[in-house]
Amino acid sequence: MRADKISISLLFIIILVFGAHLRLYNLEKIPNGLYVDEASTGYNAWSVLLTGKDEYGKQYPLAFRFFGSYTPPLYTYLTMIPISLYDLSVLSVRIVSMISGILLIPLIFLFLKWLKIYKNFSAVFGTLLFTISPWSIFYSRVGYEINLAFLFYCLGLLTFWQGLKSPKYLIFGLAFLSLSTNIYHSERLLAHLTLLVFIVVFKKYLFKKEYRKKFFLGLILYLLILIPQFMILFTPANTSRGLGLFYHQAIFRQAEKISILPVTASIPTAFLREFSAQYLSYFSPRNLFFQPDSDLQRSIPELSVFYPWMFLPYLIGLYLLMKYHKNPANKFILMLFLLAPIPASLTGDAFSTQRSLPLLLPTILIITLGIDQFLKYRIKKVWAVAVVVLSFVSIASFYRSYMILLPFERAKTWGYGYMQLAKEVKKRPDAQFVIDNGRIKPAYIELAFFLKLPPYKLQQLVDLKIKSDYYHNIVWDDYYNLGEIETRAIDWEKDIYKDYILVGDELAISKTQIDEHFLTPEFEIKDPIGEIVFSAYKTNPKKKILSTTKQID
Amino acid sequence: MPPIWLTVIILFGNVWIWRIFKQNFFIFLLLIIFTILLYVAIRQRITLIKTILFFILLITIIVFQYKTTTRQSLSILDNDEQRVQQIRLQAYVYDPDLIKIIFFRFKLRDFYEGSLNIVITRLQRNFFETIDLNIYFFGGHPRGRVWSNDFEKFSFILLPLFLIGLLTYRIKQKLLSTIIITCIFVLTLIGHKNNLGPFLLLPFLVLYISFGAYTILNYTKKFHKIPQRYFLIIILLTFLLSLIQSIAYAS
Repeated sequence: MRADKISISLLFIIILVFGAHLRLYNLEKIPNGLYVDEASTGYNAWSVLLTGKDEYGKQYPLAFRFFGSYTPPLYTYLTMIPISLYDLSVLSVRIVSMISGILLIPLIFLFLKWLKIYKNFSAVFGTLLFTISPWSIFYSRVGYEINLAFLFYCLGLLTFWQGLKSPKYLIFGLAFLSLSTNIYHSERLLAHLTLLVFIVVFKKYLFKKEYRKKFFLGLILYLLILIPQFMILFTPANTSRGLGLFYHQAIFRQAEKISILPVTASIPTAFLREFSAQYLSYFSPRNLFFQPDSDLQRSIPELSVFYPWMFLPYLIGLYLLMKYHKNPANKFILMLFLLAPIPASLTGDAFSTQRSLPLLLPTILIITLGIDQFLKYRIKKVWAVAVVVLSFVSIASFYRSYMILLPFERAKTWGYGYMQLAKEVKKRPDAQFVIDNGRIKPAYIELAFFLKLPPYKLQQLVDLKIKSDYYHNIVWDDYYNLGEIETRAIDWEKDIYKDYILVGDELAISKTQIDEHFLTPEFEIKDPIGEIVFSAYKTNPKKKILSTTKQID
Repeated sequence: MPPIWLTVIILFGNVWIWRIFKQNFFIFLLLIIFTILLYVAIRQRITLIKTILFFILLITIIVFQYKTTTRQSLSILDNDEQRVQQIRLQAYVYDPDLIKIIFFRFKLRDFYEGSLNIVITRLQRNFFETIDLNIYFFGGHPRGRVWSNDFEKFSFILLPLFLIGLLTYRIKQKLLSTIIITCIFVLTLIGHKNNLGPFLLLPFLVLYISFGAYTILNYTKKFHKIPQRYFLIIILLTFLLSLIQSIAYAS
């Protein structure tokens, strides 16, 4: 027994150290580049750190406007800490997410222990599988809010579960759940749904005399933590993101196809179909174990969110979950499993691994249930060895897909090139740049990040209407004039007569335009594959004016 | 066991069987007979002759599935895939580090970018597409496969019935499971490029949906005060609504 405990502790430490390595290794270089959302988070955190205001000049916002998404603020505020220590850099933007990822490992281990439905070694296996799961590692290595929100959501669930045995934990559970709503959009819906369902499912515990006081105290704390959100509850900022992602267009298109039915029947039918399709896709083995997320920026080449072999224990775990659904722990897992995809199912993106990250927890619990079943058979040592061998094979697959292929073939997707572009801009302090923003993500924030543009400069550029009506003015314009840099479409009737360096992607400036307007190549930035990310051309206004004058003559 | 009329309604009340009827009457006939024989085999002990007929029909359907499917090679790469493979080989030399050195040293690069891995990946693709419920109940939506001409085979409203049937029915489970696993295995090998879809699984899907419908109907008996026919009317109306939707989408 004691030997077992020591082995388990030792194995857990090894897994934790390995998990930390997977989340830390080359964090600055992989993913290769800085995505625009990371740049936005990092720059705004830096701006608040230096000036107390975000890029729009809003003092300590309750939700960060960014590009009109009004993201809950906690991640950005926490990012101020690594930025203050390591300065504004790719690494400092990703640190909070990385630390969340590492902290999730012991949390999952505790989940597996405290649910008390797994054997000791199954808990170790489950922790290992979580540690090496692509889903977990991927979002631990990007500067997004999602992983921190997942950490707090899991903390809330874990302490809530413990609260069924020891009421004082209910206060913490409710506090953590509420805090998660201040981090990411998905949790703003999911946490409330989870709380509601939890109350219904476990009401016989929660309304007992010894639980009531702690539970209601926790509920008050839950509501107090929501105050910042209440303050902007009736503003467009509260709903812009959700409404923007909801598939109302798709529902109307589908309802038109069944126009034989009255509107009161066709629209609900179309909505039900769309929601059911999206919802079911989050349980599909094809999406969980084989096919990567269709968004290249949210996926790893040739790898889904779990490894293919995990399908078998998943299937067995699902079967056991249904079979013994009356067990409180299984009820709890089932509840999480069915709730987690709901926020993501209300958006049009097919199998969004980002918005459905909370599904990672119940899926790992279910997979571990399946593995636990294998370990109950006589040949359990064979199964144990098989799981270990498959884990090693999985790790090799992960290294191939994430550490080798991703930084090479997805660099452009991850904003590779902006750092190099910033260096080229710095080399030419007297030049005037026009960055064509027709097909690229918002360039202004990437350049502001890498050039470390003083926040007050960006704040000065902002329309006063945005500052004064911050939570109502949701329309976002991607035109920016940062002094020496303008981000807009190239005006081929005016820009060629001025002294500019025109910068765009491979389609922005054609050979015909280069010849016609006497443009000279200035520099070219290529991604690791060799594809052009940016090409820059200097205008020749004198020659152009001469040529235009000749034509008129 | 569900009554035969319930199984027949579900068998004929889907877009899939009529699409097969339109394109290949013989397969349509085969599937009808096989589904009914499957129902009989599950419901009662069947004679030797019927057992032989059952397996002959099953093998015939497998052969037709094989013959009507455009088989994609498990190992040959098309031009675009070859281009991607060449790009990936370069990834192992770009910005060398310890991991890449290990991959070279232990020939892992050759394995992952080689034929064996391609075969494994394609078999996995075929397998996971075969068991993806979205393909049967939502025409692949939201992750439709452009090359496959996906269509909504069963109305999505039947999905919960299918899941209930899958979870609750235990009659001759081993026999059914063995046959279904064999069919999935076949579809994994031959793939999915077929205008008629993986019709090999149609009888089993129909059976489990009817199991689920029967479970629901039995459950409604608990509500003694409400006549069962009212539940039947509600279920049929809902089914009709979703069938209209399926036909509208299919057209």
